[in-house]
Amino acid sequence: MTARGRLRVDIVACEGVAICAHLAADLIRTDSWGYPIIDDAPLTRRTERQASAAVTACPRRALFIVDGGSGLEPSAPQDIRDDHANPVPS
Amino acid sequence: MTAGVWLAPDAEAELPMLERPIHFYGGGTSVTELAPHSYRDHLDRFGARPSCRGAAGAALIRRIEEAGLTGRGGAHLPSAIKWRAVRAAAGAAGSVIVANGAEGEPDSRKDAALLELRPHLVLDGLVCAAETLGARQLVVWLHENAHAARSAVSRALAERVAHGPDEPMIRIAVGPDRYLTGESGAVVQALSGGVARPAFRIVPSAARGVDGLPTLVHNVETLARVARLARGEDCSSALVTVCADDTHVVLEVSTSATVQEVIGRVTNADEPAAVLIGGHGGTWCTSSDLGKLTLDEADLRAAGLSLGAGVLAVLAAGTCGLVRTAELADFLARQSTRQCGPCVFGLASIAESTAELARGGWRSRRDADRIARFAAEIKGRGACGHPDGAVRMVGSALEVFADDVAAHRRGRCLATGEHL
Ligand code: SF4
Ligand code: SF4
Ligand SMILES: [Zn+2]
Repeated sequence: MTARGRLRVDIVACEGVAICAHLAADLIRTDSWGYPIIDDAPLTRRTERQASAAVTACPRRALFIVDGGSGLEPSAPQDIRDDHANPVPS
Repeated sequence: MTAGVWLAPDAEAELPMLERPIHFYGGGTSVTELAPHSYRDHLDRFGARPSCRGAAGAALIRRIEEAGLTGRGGAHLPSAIKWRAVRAAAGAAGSVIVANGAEGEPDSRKDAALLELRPHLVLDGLVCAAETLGARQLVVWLHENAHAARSAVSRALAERVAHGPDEPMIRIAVGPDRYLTGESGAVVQALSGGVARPAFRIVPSAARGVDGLPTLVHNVETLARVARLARGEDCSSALVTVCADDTHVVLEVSTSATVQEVIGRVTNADEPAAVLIGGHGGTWCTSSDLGKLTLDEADLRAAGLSLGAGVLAVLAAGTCGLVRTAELADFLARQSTRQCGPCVFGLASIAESTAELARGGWRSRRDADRIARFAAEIKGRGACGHPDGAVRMVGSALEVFADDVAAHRRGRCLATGEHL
């Protein structure tokens, strides 16, 4: 089986009106301030349809699917991601 | 920040970078009794920088790997992995190496001390990295008002041009004096012509950073260690800033020293009630939590801690830990770059709730549940790690100061004895 990828949000671009949470209710819930919290699990056949509906509808183009042949997946392995644990010079 | 007064010699590290503790008093200018290393002093003390081209560069990466060098960002990523990633990604246009000296932690002084007193060590590390990784752009990144560090680096660069061997050009770039100016994504964004604030990114900067080029951002202390590893020296020491009794003291300590020993060398005060480890976004610990814990990163990590920016801040006697926590939470909320909803609104909510707790405004269990819910919602959801640090600090405070929380709820402060 091929990996279906995961739904992710560019939280900087997101404006938090949560249209996505209506369209992908099985994948996205909203936090106390209306911003999307996205299920990190790989997409399934069912959730994949919801995910692409949300990606298409997002007014800020803030949603995307990674690791699923979207062309957006990291070209480098996870373990060289930027140091994010502390906002300290790395 | 300016360098301070030298104290008695300290024989902790065998071949130290900084031979003595350095004291900073208040925020003002103070006297430096010992001159910074000139290029000549530097050569006398450390010897010439070995070339890192070709096979020597590959050997340096192996040494970095063996020494277990990691970034100071708290993510504990082995530096060797980043170096290899940058080298693999670098094409004909080369790569970019940044010596990150934008010390955003309000209680940290170690980068200032290093840049002002041993600038050539940092520059050596920068050039070693550039030779190893085929970099074309070499940058020293500083806060715009770090005047002393900036002039020390400028002077050092001028000396190298006049007296040193042929080296690639190094430029100094500056960003605003804000907490997050030194965050690696902010550095990359600023050097690419943008605003110095963290960015959302999927591709790591080691693969695509400044102007799309593979970029290595290393803390200045990390590069100073690289300079020593390139010379075949061991470097099992760390620079820390101990903040106690209204002074900041920079110490170079062996990582086998315990946190308590290091603090004990700076303050004679009784065992502190609590210590904040890692900076404003760090973790509160009690003396009994610390026990025999050493500064070794693996040891700290096993205890769920990180040295982060290397700050050990002692809670002053007679100060309420909850009041201090509320001040820190307020600071962190205000330092948000206001780009990500969960950070903007979440940190404001947490700061507000913490302030209420400090004032004695928490009346029921529900307040604790509410702050725990906010924390769980915020964690891991910013474009950078800033909100996670705030959540970590407040969460540890609620545990460490649990007795104070209970007392505040009953309208009493244990530290001051006051009615709230
Ligand atoms: S639809 Fe887009 S902009 Fe709106 S909340 Fe969802 S991700 Fe954010
Ligand atoms: S998480 Fe906060 S500090 Fe980090 S980029 Fe987003 S808004 Fe800025
Ligand atoms: Zn109190």
